[in-house]
Amino acid sequence: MRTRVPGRSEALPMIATAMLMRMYWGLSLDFTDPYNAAWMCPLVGLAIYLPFAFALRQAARIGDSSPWENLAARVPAPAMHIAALAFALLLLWDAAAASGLTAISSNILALDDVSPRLLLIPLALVILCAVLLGAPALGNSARLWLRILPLFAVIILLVQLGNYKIGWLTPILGGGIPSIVSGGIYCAGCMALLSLPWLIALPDRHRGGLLPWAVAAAAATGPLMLTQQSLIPAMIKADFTVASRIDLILNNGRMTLSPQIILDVLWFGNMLYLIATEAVTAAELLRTIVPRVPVWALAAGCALAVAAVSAWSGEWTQAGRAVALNLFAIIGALLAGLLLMALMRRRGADA
Amino acid sequence: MRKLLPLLLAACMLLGGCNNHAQVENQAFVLVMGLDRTEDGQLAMSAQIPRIAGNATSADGSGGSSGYAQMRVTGANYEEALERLDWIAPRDLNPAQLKLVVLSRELAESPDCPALIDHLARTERLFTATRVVVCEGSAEEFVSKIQPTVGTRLSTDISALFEHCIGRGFTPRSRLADLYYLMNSVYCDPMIGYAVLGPKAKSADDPDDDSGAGEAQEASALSGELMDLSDEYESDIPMRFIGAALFRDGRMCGVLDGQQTVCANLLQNELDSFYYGFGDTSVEIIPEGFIHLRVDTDAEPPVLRVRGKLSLAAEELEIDVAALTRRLNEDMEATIRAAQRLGVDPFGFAEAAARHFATIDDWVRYGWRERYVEATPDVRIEFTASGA
Repeated sequence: MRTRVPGRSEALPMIATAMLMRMYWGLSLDFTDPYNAAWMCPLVGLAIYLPFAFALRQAARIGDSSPWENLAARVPAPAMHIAALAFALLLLWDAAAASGLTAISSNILALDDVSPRLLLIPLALVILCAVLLGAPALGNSARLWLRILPLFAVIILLVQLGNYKIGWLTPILGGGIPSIVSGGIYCAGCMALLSLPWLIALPDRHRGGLLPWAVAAAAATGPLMLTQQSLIPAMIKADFTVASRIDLILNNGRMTLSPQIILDVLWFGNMLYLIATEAVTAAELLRTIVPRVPVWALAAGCALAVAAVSAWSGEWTQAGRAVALNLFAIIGALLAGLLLMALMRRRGADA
Repeated sequence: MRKLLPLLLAACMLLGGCNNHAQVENQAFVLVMGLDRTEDGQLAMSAQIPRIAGNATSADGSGGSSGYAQMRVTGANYEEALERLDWIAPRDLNPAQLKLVVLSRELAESPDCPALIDHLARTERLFTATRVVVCEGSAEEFVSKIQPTVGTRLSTDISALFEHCIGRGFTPRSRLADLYYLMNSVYCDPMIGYAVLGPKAKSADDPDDDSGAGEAQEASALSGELMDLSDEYESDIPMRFIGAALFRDGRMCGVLDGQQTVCANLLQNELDSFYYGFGDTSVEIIPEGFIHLRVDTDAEPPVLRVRGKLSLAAEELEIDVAALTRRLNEDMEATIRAAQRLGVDPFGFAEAAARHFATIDDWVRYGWRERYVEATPDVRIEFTASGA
């Protein structure tokens, strides 16, 4: 098997793709309280996320390997193992949520009645393949995907050009400042979670850092939300299920069937990258705890875990939303703890 | 072997397409659906489904045009009726290609209508860009008269006819999604197409029966001058989409006639050009840029400002532009006042007013609807020299 750990040039495209998609579906389906002001949330989230990005950069600078290896060289192994396990579980939990959504959306679009649980099987196979092929393969294909994605997005935007209603973007603050801030925290959590591939990425020919890619993802999600909010008005009277919200996104009621295919390709393509990125990163983090476990076993374990959690948790629940809202605090606290331990150890060594 | 394993696994994903696959021939695509309330309070659902053989010679005995089978079921509610339709359909019922939903006026005005629209919008795989119209009289009869007139496919025919009527401004866009969205949104109220059967279609079953003409007269009184105009011509096309049904809180509460619908579409910036009856003639008018709606929410009552510029399409017409301007402004104002009397804002003033508020809570607290009915319209549409 080839090397499993991604280089930075491979990790960054998959991080950007996954961040964009995670924030998009999070604000469209999961945390909809900001209503028409949802487009501001990725930008607020970016501001909240900045300290986390600087912490990651600090972790990258304290050694000449990946931030994770740098920390592992200075932090006691049990602490690293606890952090790795926590990060991996969060990634798998989120991958399960994404898998559930993908299965529901496939079920909505399928001509025949197929159980969403059965539709988890191909997604489990995707996870299996992604983990077996390794993060570098995923990163390289994400780089190609990122070249196609804007073209598809432009086609979708142009096809719907006559349908945007700017008036639906007002009142400008939508659900209010508290909901925008909460949406920002939600987005910051998504960005922090999907920065974890950077944590394990090895330095390579890539010179730039993570931050420009995170800025690009947030900056792209904002306009995407803006277009969506100007196609679907703030509806405070309707009680939506996740399935009906997915239906609204994929078929907003104005497009004819043919451009919907492009939207569907974008939706499923990005969802697959999100799921695969989270699963691959989780597998790599787990491998730091149990290095002797064969890759195929890790791959099968991740695929089964994601499918099982997704199948038994049903629709993305309030519990899932609560985890998502606290992701930034959980991941931030864990990283800050590791970084503090590493810095204290270095100071101790210097003294 | 290790390199082949991922490929083999990836190939397994494709096997999903070999199981439970759905052939197009095995689907009963509903193209038109009609919904009525029966005398015993049941919901009657009529549907037109294309016969796979095209213009087959066999008839199902339940009416409908030769290439399309019409089916009718009743149920206590929408779900039950849809389920029964699925039972009697010759294939798997599939609403993904639905082009038109026809609600009878009686049903649209009933308290059950909001729930019905909600169920329609949430129907699995139902194409939410489908058009919804309210028809005078029975939806079942209306659906039975629909047949491809120009061309061979009903789906294309309905879409083309609708686009034609929308382009002329006689009917709103009438998409199910918009009806559903606006019904639940914090903005303006929805309006959808209002439809009647032409006199010829009405009397087709019994040429001696003049009740069709009577109903057509009734509809004419309702739908104004353009409806009278439509009754004066004969056509094989049975459907007339003229006018708009206004909805409030998910229920139909009134009708705009053809001319008022043109004004409403103009206010919504839906028209590239339109014909306007002025005296004995009809003039083609082109909007010059957007019609701007503004609401002065500081004033008490609020002021609904409409500003815009139009031009005449034909240079050679000798039209009294001042009189035309006056008449158009009066008609626009009358249309707004007619909607205000019904407590409905289908024009988009709500969106214009909402921009004065910071949050949705502030906007909801303002109580737009109560203030809107008291608001003062201030319409100033002018004609420019360009194009005229």
